[in-house]
Amino acid sequence: MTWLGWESLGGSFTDDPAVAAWGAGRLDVFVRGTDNALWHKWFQNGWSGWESLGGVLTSDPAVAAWSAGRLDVFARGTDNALWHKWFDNGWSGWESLGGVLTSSPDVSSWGAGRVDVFARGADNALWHKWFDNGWSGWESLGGVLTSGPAAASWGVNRIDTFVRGTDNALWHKWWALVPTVRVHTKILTNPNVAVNTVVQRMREVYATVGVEVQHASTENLALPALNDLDVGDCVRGRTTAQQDQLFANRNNAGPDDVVVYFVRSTVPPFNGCAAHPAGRPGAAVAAGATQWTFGHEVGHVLGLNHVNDNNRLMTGNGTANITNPPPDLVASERDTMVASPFTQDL
Amino acid sequence: MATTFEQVRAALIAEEPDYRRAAELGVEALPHLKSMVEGGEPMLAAKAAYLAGLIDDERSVDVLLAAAAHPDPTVRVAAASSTRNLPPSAAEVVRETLDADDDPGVRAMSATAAGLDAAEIWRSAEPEAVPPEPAPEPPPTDGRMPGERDSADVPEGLMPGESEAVRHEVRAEGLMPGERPAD
Repeated sequence: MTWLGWESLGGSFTDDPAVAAWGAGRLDVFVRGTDNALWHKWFQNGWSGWESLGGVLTSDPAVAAWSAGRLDVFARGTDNALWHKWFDNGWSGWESLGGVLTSSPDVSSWGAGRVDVFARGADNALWHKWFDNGWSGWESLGGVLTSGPAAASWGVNRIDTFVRGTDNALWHKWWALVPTVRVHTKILTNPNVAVNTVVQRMREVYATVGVEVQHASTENLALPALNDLDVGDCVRGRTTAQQDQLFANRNNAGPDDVVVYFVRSTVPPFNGCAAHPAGRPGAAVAAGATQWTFGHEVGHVLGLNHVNDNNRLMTGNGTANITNPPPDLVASERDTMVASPFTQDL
Repeated sequence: MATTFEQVRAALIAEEPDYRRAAELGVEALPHLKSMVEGGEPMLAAKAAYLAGLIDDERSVDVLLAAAAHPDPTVRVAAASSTRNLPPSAAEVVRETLDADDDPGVRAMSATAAGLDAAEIWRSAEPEAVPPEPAPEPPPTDGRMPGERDSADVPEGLMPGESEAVRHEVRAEGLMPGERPAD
């Protein structure tokens, strides 16, 4: 196997070409011509001539092929918006996808029906727009770019983007599935440590073992009769009638999402209790709990047990006694958490 | 060896104290429990009140009476719930205070601990229906890049500046502008 020689394919253009292959033996090349229109040349059992696809481009084009016979081409227009043209049994017209681009776009596709487009915005951040049963809005991915982006996808739910930073170094940002705990909060009584604070504390601790925490929703519940919640002995797998009644409130929560109920107190008095009815993963946290109780109780829901170590989140000696905050989670606990059905790859 | 305040505190400071084991600290824990009830940590005070009811001694009532007068309702709820662990006569003494509590949750817990139905307490505590507040205005449309405005009025399927005339200009078949056919 070796590199073969150079062959001229003709044409006259000044910017970079873009190329996609929708299958073996097929190449589609796109350039901006000296007339600023989009031009196309393809290989299939030999090279075609150049074909103008019109438009008035102010950037290089970008192209992706999500399946045989499908091409999606993107470029910036004279209005600095993103423009799109696609081939699917014939060429479409140009479609504006909006935005204010300050670079050429780039595009990746991880499968049929999915396209991800990236460009630098007027704020020099990386911006993202994607097609998945319809076009998304623009999403900022942050950063301070001194180049346009480059994007690639090696499989479903994986995108890698590369840009030049203000230090002229190469910077990389990627989209990937990560083990994530989706938490919903239901508030009967606001806790002494604010909900957002306890979620953030949990997020910080869980991040140390690569587990994300998503605060999926929050809701106030007017259930005064459950506000001092009878939790019995608070033993895993055993619940009281009041717990059964409270944990039935799972608005917005999927079957593997964890719901935490902030109550005024539990009876008997605990900081929290992670005992929950089958199929309703969740925990109750009392208003007077510490900043770590929330993450501690969700840790129980994920299968973690108490340890005798006040440097760790799952200390059985009271999170009020944590000596070296933030408390630790250890590798074996990570394995348990990731193996839990309530830790989802998102 | 005398039971210390720290021993009692250590038994109660856990997220989920083991009350049965803590009760084994016995009557020597009661002065410390009273101190905790009178101290400035409502969560610890509530746990102390509950534990006091599990220690079989007449002085437990003193601790629960202090808890029943605590300004934090969670401590009074703990006292109310713990009366179920007291002998009936002692429980009655503590409930006298709790049954007149301003907080319906405390009264309900006291009733439940006495084996009564708390439903009537909750019915009488229900607030009058308040009409819902109007829904807030929806936030401005997201999903736009900075400086982005509505797209210019351009003909369907064309980019700005592109005209049908230019688009359909006749060019040499298969060549780009400026490109000359190969000799």
